[in-house]
Amino acid sequence: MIHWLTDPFTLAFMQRALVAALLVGVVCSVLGCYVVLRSMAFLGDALAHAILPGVAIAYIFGFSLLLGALIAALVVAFGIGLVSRGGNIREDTAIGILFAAALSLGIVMISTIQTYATDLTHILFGDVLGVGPHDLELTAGLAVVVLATVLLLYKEFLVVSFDPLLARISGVSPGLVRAVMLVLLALTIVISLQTVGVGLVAAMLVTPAATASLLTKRLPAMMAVSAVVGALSSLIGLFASYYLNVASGAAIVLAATAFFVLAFILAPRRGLLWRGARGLLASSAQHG
Amino acid sequence: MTRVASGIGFQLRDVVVNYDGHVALDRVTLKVEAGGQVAVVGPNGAGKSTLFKAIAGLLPLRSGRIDLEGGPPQLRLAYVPQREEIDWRFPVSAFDVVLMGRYGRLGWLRHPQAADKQAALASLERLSMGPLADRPLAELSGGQQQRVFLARALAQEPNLLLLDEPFTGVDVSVRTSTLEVLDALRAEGVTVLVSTHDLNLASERFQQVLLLNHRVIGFGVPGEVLTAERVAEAFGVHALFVGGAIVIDQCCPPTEP
Repeated sequence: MIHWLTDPFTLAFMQRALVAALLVGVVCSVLGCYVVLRSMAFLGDALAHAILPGVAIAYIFGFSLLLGALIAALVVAFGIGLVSRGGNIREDTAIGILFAAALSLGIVMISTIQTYATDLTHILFGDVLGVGPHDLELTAGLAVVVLATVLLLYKEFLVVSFDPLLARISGVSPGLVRAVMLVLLALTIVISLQTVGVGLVAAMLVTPAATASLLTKRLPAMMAVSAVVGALSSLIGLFASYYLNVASGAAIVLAATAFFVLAFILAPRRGLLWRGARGLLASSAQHG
Repeated sequence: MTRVASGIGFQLRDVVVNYDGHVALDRVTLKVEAGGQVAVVGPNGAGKSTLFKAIAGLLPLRSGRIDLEGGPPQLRLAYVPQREEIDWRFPVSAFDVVLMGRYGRLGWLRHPQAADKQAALASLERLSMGPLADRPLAELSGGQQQRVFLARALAQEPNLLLLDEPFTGVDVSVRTSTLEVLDALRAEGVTVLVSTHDLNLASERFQQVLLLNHRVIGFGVPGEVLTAERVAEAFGVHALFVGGAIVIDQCCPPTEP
């Protein structure tokens, strides 16, 4: 039994994959709490897809893919802000437009490269088994930056998310804080590129946090539970991809979804089973 | 008992605020002394909420100026809107919400200290919400939620407090608690503005009344301001004079920013 658990990790690339996946699982799910509470799921998904042209340009011109991704994410994030500022185009629409445009631009660029089918698959769905030592250092560094910022700016993020009016009166600019959040989102997406790919990072941002929201009542607990669920999902997903020979990014997301389904059904007070049982008890009390 | 600094005064000079193409505040000129307690009275859509938001610095002025005695850190302004546009299911407890009232006095990287947490708890207790401090916001009743937001305003230790219709649609116990808090604040010398539809309350409990309908119809002692003529001028068709009594209807509130 113990061999079954440890066998995959005798190989160096699997060790790196594990660390990368755990880091991504934790960072995505912690920041994901704000994505869920502030209804930024669509924005997160869009940003993830929109980095494609950045990655393409970086690849073609031979500089760091992660840097290209980061720049593209920031450009698109501010583009969305710009397009929706006038008030004629809703933010939801602006996101839809820019994300599709960026994704298409990226695919067009990548299709000029011979190996485009493979490269595109890796970018869209992750290539966690291809994480090199340098990649891991970068991932770890960015992960620390994101988590440290979330911790240090905890009260600013909280008040801006909960009550922007109080935030303004207290001297905290909601616009500035939102900008910082977008930057963190971009960094998180960049970290997640290799593990789950752009196609699925939105899932890692949303699903563990949604699971946690069903099981907790206060934000610190929500973040902790979310991180644990994210990390476990990464672990299970990696095992699944090793033993069942399936795409690792997708396996991780399916594991996270399974946790969500369990919580949705079994959560105390808020789960389906609970509410069903309460309904039964209530109606039997009426008729009994 | 938390120490609260005495109030600050403020002045509005020819303030004009627009909303949606209409004039919400029309050349409002007003001077409130430190420690004053003013009831703001007027029909729905008269600009009462707009006035509070303008004073709180939340709305741009089309023209005119608002001068508050002293800026931060001396100025501590607390504003409790009429209808909080809050996500009621946000994972916070009553205590978490009240503690946010202390953020204004902390810098960017500082976390709330023990003194802040004590102040938050004390505020909750003042509103009889001590036992419910750890209850999630989503599990509180409407009246309890109201108390939480008032407690949050108190936790800010304000020297200027703006309460937008705190007596509208609340049960008797919340009304009593709020009145007790206002009495205590008067004793502490905090400057308070409260908007209300209750003309009796305005005349009984407040030193000054501001009668507002986009512009200042009257400002001064209740006896001088709440005359039949002025009330009719302010409320128009919404005021009915029956025998010696004035009946105000609260129909059809238009939207304010």
